[in-house]
Amino acid sequence: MLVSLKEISKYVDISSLTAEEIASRLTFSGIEVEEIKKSADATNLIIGQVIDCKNHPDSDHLHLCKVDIGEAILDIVCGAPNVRKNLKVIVALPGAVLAGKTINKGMIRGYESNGMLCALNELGVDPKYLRKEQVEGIEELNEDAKIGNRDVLSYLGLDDTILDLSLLANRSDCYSLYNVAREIGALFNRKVNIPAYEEFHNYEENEFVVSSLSDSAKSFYAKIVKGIKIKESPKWLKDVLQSEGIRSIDNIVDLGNYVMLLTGQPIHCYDYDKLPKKELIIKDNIEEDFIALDEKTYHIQKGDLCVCSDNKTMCLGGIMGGRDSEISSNSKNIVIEVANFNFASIRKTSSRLGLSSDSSLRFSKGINKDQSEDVLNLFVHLLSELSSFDKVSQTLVYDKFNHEKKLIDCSLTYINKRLGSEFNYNEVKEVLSLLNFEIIDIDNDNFKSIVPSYRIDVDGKADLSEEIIRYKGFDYIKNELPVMETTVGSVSTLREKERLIESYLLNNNFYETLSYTLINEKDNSLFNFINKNEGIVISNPLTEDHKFIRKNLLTSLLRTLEYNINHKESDFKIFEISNVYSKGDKEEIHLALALCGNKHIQERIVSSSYSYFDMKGYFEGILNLFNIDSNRIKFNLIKDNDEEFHPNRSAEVILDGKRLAVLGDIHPLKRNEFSLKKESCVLLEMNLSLLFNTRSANNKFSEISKFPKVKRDYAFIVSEDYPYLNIKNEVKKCSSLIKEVSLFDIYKGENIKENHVSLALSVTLEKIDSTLKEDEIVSLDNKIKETLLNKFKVEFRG
Amino acid sequence: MDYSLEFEKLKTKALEELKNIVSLKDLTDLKNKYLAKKGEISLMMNHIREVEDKKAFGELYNACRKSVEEAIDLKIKEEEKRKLNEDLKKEKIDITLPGNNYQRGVANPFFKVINEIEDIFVGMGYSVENGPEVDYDKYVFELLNIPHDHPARDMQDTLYIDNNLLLRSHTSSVQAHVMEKAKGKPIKVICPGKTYRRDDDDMTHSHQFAQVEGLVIDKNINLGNLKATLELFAQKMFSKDTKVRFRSSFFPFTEPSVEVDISCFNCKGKGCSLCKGTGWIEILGAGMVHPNVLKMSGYDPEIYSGFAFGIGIERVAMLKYGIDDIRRFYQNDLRFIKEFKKVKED
Repeated sequence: MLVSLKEISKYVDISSLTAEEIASRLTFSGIEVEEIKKSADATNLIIGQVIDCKNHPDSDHLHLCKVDIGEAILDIVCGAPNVRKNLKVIVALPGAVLAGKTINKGMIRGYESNGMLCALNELGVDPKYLRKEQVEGIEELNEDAKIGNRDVLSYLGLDDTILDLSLLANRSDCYSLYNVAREIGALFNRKVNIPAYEEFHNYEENEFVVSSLSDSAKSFYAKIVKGIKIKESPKWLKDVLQSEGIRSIDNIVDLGNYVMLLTGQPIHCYDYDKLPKKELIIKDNIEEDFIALDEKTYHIQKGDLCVCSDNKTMCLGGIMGGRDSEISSNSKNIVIEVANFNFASIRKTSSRLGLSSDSSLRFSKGINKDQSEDVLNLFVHLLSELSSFDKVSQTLVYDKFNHEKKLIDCSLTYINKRLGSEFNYNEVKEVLSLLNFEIIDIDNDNFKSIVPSYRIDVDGKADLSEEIIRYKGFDYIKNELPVMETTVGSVSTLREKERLIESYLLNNNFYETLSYTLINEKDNSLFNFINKNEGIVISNPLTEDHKFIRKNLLTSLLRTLEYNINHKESDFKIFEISNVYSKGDKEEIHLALALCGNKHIQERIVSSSYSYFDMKGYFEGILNLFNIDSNRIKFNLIKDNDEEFHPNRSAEVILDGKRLAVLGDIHPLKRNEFSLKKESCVLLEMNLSLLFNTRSANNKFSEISKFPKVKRDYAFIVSEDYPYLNIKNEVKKCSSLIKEVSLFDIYKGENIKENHVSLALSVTLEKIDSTLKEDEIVSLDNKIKETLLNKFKVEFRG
Repeated sequence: MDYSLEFEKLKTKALEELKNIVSLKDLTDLKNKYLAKKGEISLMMNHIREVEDKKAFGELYNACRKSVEEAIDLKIKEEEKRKLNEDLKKEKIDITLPGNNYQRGVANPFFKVINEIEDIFVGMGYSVENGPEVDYDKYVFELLNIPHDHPARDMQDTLYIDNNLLLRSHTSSVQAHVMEKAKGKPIKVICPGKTYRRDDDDMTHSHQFAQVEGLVIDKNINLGNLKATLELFAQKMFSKDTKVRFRSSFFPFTEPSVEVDISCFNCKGKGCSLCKGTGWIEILGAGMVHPNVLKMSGYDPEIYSGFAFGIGIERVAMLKYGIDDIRRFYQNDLRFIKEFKKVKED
């Protein structure tokens, strides 16, 4: 909302206040002033008259002019197509600064030029308020412009200062200059003078009907004016509108806009003679194509508020008028509409049609319902200044609103308790009165407050507390920490576990990354193995790239990896922890890891590619953090993984029968998706929700043996059909005295049968209560050998 | 017979021989030659039968034996040490060669800031809760005093899945969840999390960003409590002399609502490019929980009051580290991430 201080000064005394003072006070009390602008930015101007104008001999567009500025006659070279003899013009003298640019004396193609003839946009006026010819040529001043006048900006009405308000949803009342004046008046305790006019009419209209058949339009006030003349608006009105950012059209349209600016009430005028029937009725059940003022056709649906005559839409209520009933230069008789359209309906229609206007903006935020008559009276009063007219009807009224004043019960105690302040009763009362609230005393603590009708945002006593503190300033509240029952602060168990994993991985030289939740359709389908549920689609995405809520993390992590490889990083480990979502209200926390390229020792002296076993190690490290017993975990080769992972170098991990994770080398066919070349790329994605919700044993002390351990080694050749883990588990089962079974050699190739492998195991035995006896060891040794022979058909070596 | 002369001769002879040998083997041989069971000095003991003063003889014998043994042992020791030093010399390494790669990884500063904010509030006795990012209209809007078609609800801003389900546009939605769970009991909680808006991405806007929501509800909570809490937070997060300033604002779920500025920790309020010359930096939005919000979630606003605030995580990180573009957080350029390796800032 643009606020002209020149216009505001008509309604509130702002003498001796600077624009900056006003802006700062408004901003701190909840009406943010985003910018303070001048309507023009130019110095050292003078009004002159072209007394001679010849074409430049060496140019097809330059003119050599002699310009009379009263005190002198200047030679000026001018390129404007419209410069001509006798024209009154704006002259920027040498030294003038126009929108930051300095004008100097100079030679233009061999001729001296002692200044510049100006167009308004060169003075800093936004071209959008100017006609095409005003932008293309210099400004043509009226005959009455006085040669030698140096106060050019005020002659042009461009000596104004504009506050650009960025209004929050609660202060839509400030889309009215009157209300801004009231606010400034209250904040600075200055006199406010909002004019009020008596109702005027000079004939009784008995035929014409205004009404509403919609619950979303509860009031409709109108007057009919006959015998008007449509013409250009006077300069003062054009100037105000320009300061307020509105283009001048003609006197009636301009007046409607001006009254809207002043009061916040949008107004629409119809050509009385173009209405098919002597009625205007608001309906919300129309379905038809409607041609609006902008000549475009809009499809009207049920629920849109239409102002109809003979069941035909004349105006899309509160949003835009219709072409068929538009005021034109030969309109004689008009109907002025002051209606109240419900904000919800306006918002819906306006956003569906992508059609908004100054009017729909105000309606969609909600407007004051109690000022319809005043607005019409103001309109008629101003009309008499702008145009002659013959007849004005009485006010036609349809009104189903309850106009009772809003009354709020409140108390001083409540206000101080909510704010943490120590105001006294009189202070509170004074502030509310300045803000135009009426106060009814109950006792010296309790009071009732009547809300001014334009403050539609104020509903209850909490709002009153805000009025007090925004007026007085927040320095009045006491800075005290809350006094509450002592609580032990903590993060949620979930978060705690997340942070454990985070720090484990960081300590293992992983980088933690963050990527967008919303991804494109293809990316959401590249890795499905860990979560095969259907993905969630955004119904109103901004771009196709951010249309799907990711259900898995690996693709995002690989995109991060791809970005860094493209930026010449190689050899790194990254991870991300994030929520993922899939259809049916499924929220899971996932962890994704990627190992890329080589691991190194001592910078790059020793290097080897990351492998499945590196990833498996990190995975086991994570399980260790939570003391998950390895018996509960199963690694399965994954069949049917849709070419996501290397079929023989990847595994799915099952925890208690449920799929916990997938890990392994990326499938060669997936590499192209992420412009991977030869570098190794090992991935893991884990369902942390499953891990976090599983139970595991807590730490507990058990006796440590004081007696020596005994180690026995077994080297044998065995078929590859037997996975190592099975062998290990079977050996372990031989006796409870076996504390540890560990693999210390594995060999395949020369001297070993095809499909066989040579393994070497070390078995550690220990007894808690005594030293192991020789016969115990021998019998156990035999048992282990037997097991290996019988169950795995091994062939012992050496 | 004067054995003392004999012993002296033996000793001199042994020590003379000792002078000319170096190797450990020769030294051991020499030791054996004189001191072993049949060694020349040992054999002298046979003469004890012939002497009268056995005690004096014994003393002479021991003294001779000791001085020879000590001399040889000393030389053995010296030789062993020399050899060790020679071996150690062969083991010489270039101590400036690189160490093994045991660096810690680095977290995107986004996570650093979340953890830091969590720790600050945990220190003040808050609990940290999480809420769903995909949430129902009821929690994101209705229970926060933003009914359908409310002017504050801009369809343009929110990403919808269907009429009822959406991606939360603020973490304030967690307020309603927390109150629902607390069932009328006092609350002191923060909720960090990702949020989404239907916004184009540029230097300062992102369709995805994160907030930390704070909510405190009890019988005597006031606006001053909010100010003191946020000031303490800002002092821990930025610098210990940070001040907080409120400006009146509007959020449908708080009344009064405020924008919160902190005094510029960079220039200490003198005015610099960070604070655009004003000495103050806008940092978050906050307010007293609206009575309607309390009522809808089962708290009697005549008895209970509360405050709420929403801190922008990227905003805080950008200010704290001087990061110029919000998109950097989501780009994950490792060169960017590695700039934040210091684990705990001073």
